[in-house]
Amino acid sequence: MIGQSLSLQSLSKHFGRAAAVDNVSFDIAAGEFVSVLGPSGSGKSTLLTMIAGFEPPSAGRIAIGGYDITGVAPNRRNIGMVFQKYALFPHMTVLQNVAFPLRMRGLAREAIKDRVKQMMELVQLVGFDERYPSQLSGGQQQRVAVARALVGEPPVLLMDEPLGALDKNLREAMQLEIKRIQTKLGATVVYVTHDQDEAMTMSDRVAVMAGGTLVQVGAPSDIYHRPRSAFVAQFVGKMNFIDGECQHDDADTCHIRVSTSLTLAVPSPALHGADRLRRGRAVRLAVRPESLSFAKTDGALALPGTVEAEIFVGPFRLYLLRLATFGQPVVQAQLATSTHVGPFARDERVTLYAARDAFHVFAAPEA
Amino acid sequence: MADLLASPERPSPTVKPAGFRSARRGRTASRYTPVLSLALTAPLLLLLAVGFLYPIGALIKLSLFMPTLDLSAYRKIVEQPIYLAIMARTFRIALLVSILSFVLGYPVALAMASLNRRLATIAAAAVFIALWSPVLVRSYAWIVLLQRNGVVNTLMAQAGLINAPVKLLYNEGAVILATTHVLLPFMILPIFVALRSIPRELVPAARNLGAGPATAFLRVTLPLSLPGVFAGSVMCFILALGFYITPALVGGSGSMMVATLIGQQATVLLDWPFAAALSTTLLVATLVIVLVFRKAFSLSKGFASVD
Repeated sequence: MIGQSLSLQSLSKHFGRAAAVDNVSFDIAAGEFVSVLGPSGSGKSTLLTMIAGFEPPSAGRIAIGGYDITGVAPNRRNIGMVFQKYALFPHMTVLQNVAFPLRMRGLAREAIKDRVKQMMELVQLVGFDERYPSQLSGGQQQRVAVARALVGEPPVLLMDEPLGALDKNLREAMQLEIKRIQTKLGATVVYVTHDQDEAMTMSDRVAVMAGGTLVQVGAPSDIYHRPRSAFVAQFVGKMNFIDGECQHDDADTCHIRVSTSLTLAVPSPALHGADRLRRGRAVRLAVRPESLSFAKTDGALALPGTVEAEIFVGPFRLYLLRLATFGQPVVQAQLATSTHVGPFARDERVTLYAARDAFHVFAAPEA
Repeated sequence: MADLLASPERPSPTVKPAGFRSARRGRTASRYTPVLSLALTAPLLLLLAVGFLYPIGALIKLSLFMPTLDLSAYRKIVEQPIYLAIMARTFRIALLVSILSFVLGYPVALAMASLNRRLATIAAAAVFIALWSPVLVRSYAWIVLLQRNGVVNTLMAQAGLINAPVKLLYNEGAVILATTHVLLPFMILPIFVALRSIPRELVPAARNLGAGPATAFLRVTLPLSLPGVFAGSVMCFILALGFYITPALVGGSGSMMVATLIGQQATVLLDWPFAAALSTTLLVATLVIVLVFRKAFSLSKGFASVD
């Protein structure tokens, strides 16, 4: 049956001494769309490989709809999968490709015909039955791959960076298309990607992976607004980092010295369950470009800096600003094109403002 | 593959300025003028003409004119059963060698293309060492193995399987065995290349879609490697048709092949027109087979899409 729950329990995969996936536990509800987001080498593809059954896990269990499938051969799992390069069979027509999983199950000819027809309608690819994959465009091949993966009504659909080979416009169109099909069928999808926009756009939940472990799992807005580590903060969306030193952390507000003359009072990381920061602990302040606004300096100081460059992006202008804080980092700030207050000259002194809540505090790596 | 997939999304405009088109075509050939191209290929063309086309023309002429048009040499082939029998045997041996090469060579090619590094290296080493050692050495090796007091007979006698040495050498079986051994690399290498060009994810995809290991092989790997099988088979078959050294060494009087017969006619009996007629017949037969294979190959739809 399509759309069942998937449960990963303490799943690990070791290659020699290196752990590609290290003790990952994760429950996905039936009908949920979950993206596994991570840089290359983070273990996200290995995770998918184990769910599909191509590699046995070194430890842990995989269950679908409550049934343990850890030791089940890949061809008996009935998990749908869309591969990075589609993996369509080049010697078979579109029809034969989509019918393949049904024929493997020994369905009657008429039943196969009906099911394939329904599927081709769903992916809006009627009339392409007799073509070979090489005669299709990238987007069409993608649709065939999706149809083939879904025709067997898999309890879980795995997608391994399926849109990587497409150009930007087509990729965005296919994101919505995949989301439409997933919602319509109620399919459970595990979608592996290194593209954070893709993960944000399509997912109910995003699981950020790094170094073989899940570093944060949550709704896209949660991941974006409440990153729990400096890694997630910089990997998802754009983020500025300002180095500082903790002056005082009262588990509610954290006072951070960012230059010899300036201390900022920001929400304490203890609010999100982290340890309170010691006095004198080196920290990194993170703030998103769109949370920063700035104006020409007129006496009062919030965060002093100078303009390094102005870049027109379309809906907004992106500014590179050098802060007069420790280490003089260059940060990014955005001003909506419509509310443009400039122009700013290069090296013009400005003051940056951001809401107190826009700042995230992370302990810096210990020297 | 990525280019192939992406190109239909951005159809290139059909009309382009001439300069742009020639730059786009920019393969090495079009960068040289026709005169220069001809000058550069002239040495090879000359060598081909003098060393290949002229002798073949002379050969055909020799078989047909002596000195006026005379088909007696060809009539001799058709009318004397012994020569037809040798022709038939040659084709039979070539066919058996091709089939045996396929049966023995396919697993080796699979091993060479396998993901297991060590297995792949061992298989490749075995194939290349065989390919690099001289045909004469490999043929003599079979004589050492198969002769009356050879390794095989000794072992079988010691194992109590036979009482007296068995005649293993100088018969058709020995010719097929030794020729297969010599020609195996020509079967293995094209199959290996075809297997290597199969996208890695196709077999996992088949497994994912419900195919067991055997079904995945039969439905995906095997059909996609067929172009290599065809190429290897044609190569083996044609090489076996004209094989000289090995049949001459390990074959006997009862297993003579065409090449040996031609050699005999040309160097021992000095019947040059007849040798020429035999050679021409072999050449024509070979060309016909190549053309038939190519036709069958190009008609097999879908294989063209294997990149």
